[in-house]
Amino acid sequence: MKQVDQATYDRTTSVVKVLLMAAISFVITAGAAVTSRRLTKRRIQS
Amino acid sequence: MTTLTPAKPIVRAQALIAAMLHRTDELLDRAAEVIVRDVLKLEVVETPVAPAPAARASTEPTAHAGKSEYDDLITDYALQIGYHRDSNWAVPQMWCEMAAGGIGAGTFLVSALTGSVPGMVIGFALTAVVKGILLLFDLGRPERVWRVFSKPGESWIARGSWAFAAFCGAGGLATLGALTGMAGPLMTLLLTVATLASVVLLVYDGFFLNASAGVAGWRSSVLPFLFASNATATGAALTAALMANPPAGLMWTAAGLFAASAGLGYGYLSDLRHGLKSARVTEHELTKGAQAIDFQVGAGIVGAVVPAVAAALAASGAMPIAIVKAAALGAAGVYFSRKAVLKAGVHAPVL
Repeated sequence: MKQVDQATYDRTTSVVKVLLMAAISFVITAGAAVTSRRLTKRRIQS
Repeated sequence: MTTLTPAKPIVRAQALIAAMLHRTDELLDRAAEVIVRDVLKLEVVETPVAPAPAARASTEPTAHAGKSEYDDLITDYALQIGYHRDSNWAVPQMWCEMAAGGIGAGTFLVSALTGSVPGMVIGFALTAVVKGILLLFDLGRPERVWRVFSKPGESWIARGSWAFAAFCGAGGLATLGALTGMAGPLMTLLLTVATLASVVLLVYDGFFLNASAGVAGWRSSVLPFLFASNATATGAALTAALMANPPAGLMWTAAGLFAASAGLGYGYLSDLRHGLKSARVTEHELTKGAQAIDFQVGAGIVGAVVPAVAAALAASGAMPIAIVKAAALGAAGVYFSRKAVLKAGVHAPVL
C-alpha cells in the first residue's frame, strides 16, 4: 500500500469518480450511437 | 388522540426519487473508493492533529502560511452566522434535472435543425420525460403548480415553465411527425415553436440561478452562456454520433462550441474573482475547494477540452469515431458543471 495524506486521497477519489462518470456516459452514448447507426442502415437497406 | 394520515402517492414518489438519486451518488463514491483502495493501493497516513485556534471571527478571512484566506471560511452552522453553502437548490434532483434538460434541449435543437430523427427522439425523451419526472417530483405543493405560469414578464421560473410546456407539446408532436414522415406548414410551425422553446430551455437554468439574489456566485452574467454552450456542444456531438455519416460541419460546430464552453468556464471564474466576497468564496470552492475536481477536471478538462479535441479529430477525418467520445465526455461535463456550480453556491452571513 502507498501511504498518502487525507487531501491527496480525497482528491484521487474525486478524480476517479469523474472518470467513472465519464466511462458510464461513454457506455450509454456508444450504445445509443451503435443502435441508431444500425437502425438507420437497416432502414436504408429495406 | 392523533392519527397518522398516509402520505400522498406524489409525496412518496418524491421521497423515492430523492433517495434513489442520493443512493446512486453514494454508490459512485463507494465504487471510486474501492478503486482507490484496492486498485491504486492508496492508504491514508495518520498525521498529528494541529491544535485548533482559540477563537476566530466567523466572517473574517484568515491568511496563514500556505493557506488561502478563503480556506475554512465556510461554516456549517445552522444559525447562518458564517458563509454557508446553499441547501435548497444544491441537491442531486436539481443537477440531474438541469443536466438532463440541457443535454436534451441541445440535442433536440441541433437534431431539428439538421433533420436527425434519432436525435429528436433522444432529445425530446431526455427533456420531456427525464427532466419532466424530476421536475414533477420536486414540486413542494403539486396542487399549486399552475401558479408557476403566472407573471412570465417578471420571473424566469414562469418563462421556463412556459418554454417547457411549449417544448413538450410542440416538440412531442414534431417528433411524432418526424417519425411518421410528416411535412408541410404544420410541421414547420411545430418545429419552429419547439426549437425556440429549446433555446429558452438552454439558457433558462443559468438565468434562473442568476435570479437567486442570496447567492452572489450564481449571479454572474456568464453562467447562462456557459450552461447553454456546453449543452449545445454536447447536443451537436450527440446528434453527429447518432448519424451514420455525420457532416464535418456539424462536428466542427461541436468542437468550436466545446472550445467556447472551456473559455466561458474560465470567464465565469474570472467574473467571480472580481465580484462580492461570497462570489470569491464560490470561485475558491471551484478552483481550490471542495468542487475543484468536479469543475476543473469534470467540467473543464473531461467535459470541454478533451471533447473539443476529439470532435476536431472526428471532423478532420483523422478519427471519425472520436465524435462518440466527444458526445459522452460532453454529457459528463454538462453533469459536472451543473453539480459543481450548484454545490459551490455560497450565502453571505445574515449578520
